[in-house]
Amino acid sequence: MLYKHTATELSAMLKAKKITTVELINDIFDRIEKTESKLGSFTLLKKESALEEAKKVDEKIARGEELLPLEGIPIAIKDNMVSKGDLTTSASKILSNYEGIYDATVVKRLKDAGAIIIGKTNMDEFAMGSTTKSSYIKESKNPWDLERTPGGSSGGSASSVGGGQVPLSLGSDTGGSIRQPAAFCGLVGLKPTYGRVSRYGLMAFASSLDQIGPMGRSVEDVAALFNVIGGYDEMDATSMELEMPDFTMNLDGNVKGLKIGIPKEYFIDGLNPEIKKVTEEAIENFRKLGAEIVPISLPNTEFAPATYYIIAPAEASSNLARFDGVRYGYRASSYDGIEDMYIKTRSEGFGPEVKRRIMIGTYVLSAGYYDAYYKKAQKVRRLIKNDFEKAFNEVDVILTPATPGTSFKLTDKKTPVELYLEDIFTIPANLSGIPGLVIPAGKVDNLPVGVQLLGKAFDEATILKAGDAYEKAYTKMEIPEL
Amino acid sequence: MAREWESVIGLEIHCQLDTKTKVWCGCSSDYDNSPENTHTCPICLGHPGALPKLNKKVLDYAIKAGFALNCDINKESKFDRKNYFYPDTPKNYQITQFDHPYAEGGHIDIKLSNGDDKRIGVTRIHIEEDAGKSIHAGEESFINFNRASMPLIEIVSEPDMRNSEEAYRYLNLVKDALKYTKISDVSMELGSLRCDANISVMQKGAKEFGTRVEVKNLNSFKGVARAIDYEISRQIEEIENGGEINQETRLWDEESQVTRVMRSKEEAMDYRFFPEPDLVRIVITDEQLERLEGEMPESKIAKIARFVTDYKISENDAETLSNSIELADYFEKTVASSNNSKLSCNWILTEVLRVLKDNNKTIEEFSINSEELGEIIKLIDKGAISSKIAKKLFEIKLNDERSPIKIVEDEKMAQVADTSEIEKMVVEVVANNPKLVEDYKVADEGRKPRVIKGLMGQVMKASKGKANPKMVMDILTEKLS
Repeated sequence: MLYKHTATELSAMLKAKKITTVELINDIFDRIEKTESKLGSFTLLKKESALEEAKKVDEKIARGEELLPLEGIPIAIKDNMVSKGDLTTSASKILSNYEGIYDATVVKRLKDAGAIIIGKTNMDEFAMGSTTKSSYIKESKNPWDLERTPGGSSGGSASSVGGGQVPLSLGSDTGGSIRQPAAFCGLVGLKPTYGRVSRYGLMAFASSLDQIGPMGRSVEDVAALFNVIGGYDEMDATSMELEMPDFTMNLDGNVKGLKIGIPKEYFIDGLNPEIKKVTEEAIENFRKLGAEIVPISLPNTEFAPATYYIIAPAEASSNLARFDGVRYGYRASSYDGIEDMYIKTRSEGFGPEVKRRIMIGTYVLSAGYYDAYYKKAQKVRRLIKNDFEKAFNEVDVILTPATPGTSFKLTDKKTPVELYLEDIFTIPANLSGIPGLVIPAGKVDNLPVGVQLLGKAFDEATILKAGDAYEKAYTKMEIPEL
Repeated sequence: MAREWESVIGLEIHCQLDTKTKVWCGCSSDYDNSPENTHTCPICLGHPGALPKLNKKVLDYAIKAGFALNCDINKESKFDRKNYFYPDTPKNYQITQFDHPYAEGGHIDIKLSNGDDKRIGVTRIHIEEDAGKSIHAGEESFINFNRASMPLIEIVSEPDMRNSEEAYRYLNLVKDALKYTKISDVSMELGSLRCDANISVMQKGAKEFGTRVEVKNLNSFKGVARAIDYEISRQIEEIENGGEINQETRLWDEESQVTRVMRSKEEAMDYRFFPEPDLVRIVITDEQLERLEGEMPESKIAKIARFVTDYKISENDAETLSNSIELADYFEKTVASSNNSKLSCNWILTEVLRVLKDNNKTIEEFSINSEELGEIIKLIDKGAISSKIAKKLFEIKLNDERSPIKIVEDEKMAQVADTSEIEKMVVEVVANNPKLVEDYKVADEGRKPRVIKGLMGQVMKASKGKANPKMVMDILTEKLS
């Protein structure tokens, strides 16, 4: 039953020698063996190497050496983060045979910190989607209702933590891919400030929007994982050379005097009334905790999805050009010349959602349409960023709903555009580069509902502190029976 | 009706920068003799997740090229992606600079054959990455990625050139200017300097340029000139025969000396340029500019002018000496040691360059250092040895560690300047050559010098070339009078 504990608790138990790391890893794998056929969280499991690592940690404990904060703690990582010698597929056929030849910076940092990578998690192909249904490999389920989606694109990272298979995971967030599944699965999910976590080794979807972040069952756990993966990396030119404070240090439950802005543009017609109710309760609860609630306006919010669905596919169309069958990955078995090899390889290797976005991206960047689409989108992106900068002159944190509704059925037929609007509340943070934290705020029909706390660039400390205060006062950590 | 034609030429020159590592990664750039695909890593192979990081030296070198070609350096610029599929392009996009290059608005002054100067504008210089190399073997193709992500600068000229001679001279001066900054070995043979030409023709005096044709695959200086000449005549002929010029890309076929169509405008690529999101903007500081300006060498043009004024040598000689900074430095050090610029210049241009050429060596590899050559010249200058002996000394010195003075001493090569000894030899020669002596006595003033030269040759021969020629002449004249 070790799986029911948070990473912070498990770390304390290891340090106090109440459990061994090998016991912990074995317990985790027992839970995975019992639940994986239901949840479908993993694309790769590494029990053997995890147990080897666990033995090393136990030897260290036996020698009486001090453990690092996440040493011995099992962690799952999204299958778009490259790890040396492991299949890293981005849940795509085109990379179904691709073995990493180096470690992504986050992977290297996890290994250096003694954390134990137990496997790779399922996702939407190349992180494009909000259901994890576009995975080439398998379907993932929401632990709260196995007929429903865990969200996406970090669906496997969410179902693994939500279903108690692992206490912590890493996801990546381009338009909400950490926060929406966190909300759907009743988790804490952080999209850090752009430039805070190195993207080196993250298979790129949209370079100017992508950010790796932690998912867990408590704010403290998420902060502890963020501590390990964050900070300047010379391998990523967009990584910022800023000091990383210890984000677990100021989680004191105190939000007195904190100014929380409520943007009126986020309470739109499409918002499910039940979600609206939960969000309003959360606002009220923050007021009760002593925060000051301030109505604000982010006037360009409505343009965010349109802007995002120009910029993200544009960058994706270019980023995904390298998958051509020439150097690695899947190659069509028969073809006539190089042009035909490209066409067949990519036609067979990419799924429909990826193809759709490559086509949109190619179109908006093409000579005749660049100014009308891409250039204009960049201008609007600037306006959205300005909105936030202005708002943060008045408030410390902005609170919004995380998703327009709760998790939906895997069999629900939604059009691509309906699915694109799933990310409507999370996209603006990616366009502006600011950090966003989703925390559980309640349930509707036994399905989790999250709220989102947005912060100033590089001020993850404040949203983590606010989220932690809320969690301590109002949220009980839960793992559904499976 | 015969029409008069005018051609318009612009050049795009690619120069590979001589940095120790590639432009985005730490792979060594010294791959020339390495097996295929051994200088590669996840970054230059375009593996998923790998990100580029700008090599700071590349920017330094590129800025020096900007200085050398008189460009304005933009304090801020950015990188863009140029998207196209090609097997030797690992990411299937090239990182380059599209609308904000780091250097703009430069020029190079060329000298025309009629002696006039002409200024050729340099529109821009930008930084970009090189591709790998495709190797085709029958049905199969292979790729060597050792060259992938090597740093390049592309130098784009204004369409200021009117014929192949101007293009040839511009290309040569650009090469010289770059070579002086030591940022590249600028060799067309080794592929570190590559050139494409944009060529159009129009009727003389026309206001609008004709349709432009781009010619690629020019890999020698002569090839550039020949391709331009061919293309100009082809275009004129085409129009005069009632045809039209298509906007297209053509390849120069070195073997058949013609250009061939590679790509027409209809199939022209849409590169879908957009700002490279994996790299931050390039910011160049004042300190960086100052430091690099301080590191800039004297330009070749300035050096030639200084040599002509300071050393009183001809412009032609000064130019030859300035073909490499090292040779020019060698010359200046030789003069410092010999104190005779003319003689130093002559010796370097004849003897030294001959030996270097015969042995296929550079001045840095030459066995006689400038001080030693200066010593030899000083010996000639003060009459200690004749120039004939000096040549012998030079040959010995090529493979000898001893100093020139020591060699002269050891080998007893010094001139005989002892009057009595020379007199003895003169008397002997006069006695042994009565016919010549008689000849001299009856000769008219015009023939006298010729006859006396013959006698003098005999004396010099008797002295094994060591007698002081002036003294021989004086004594001989005296004895014969």
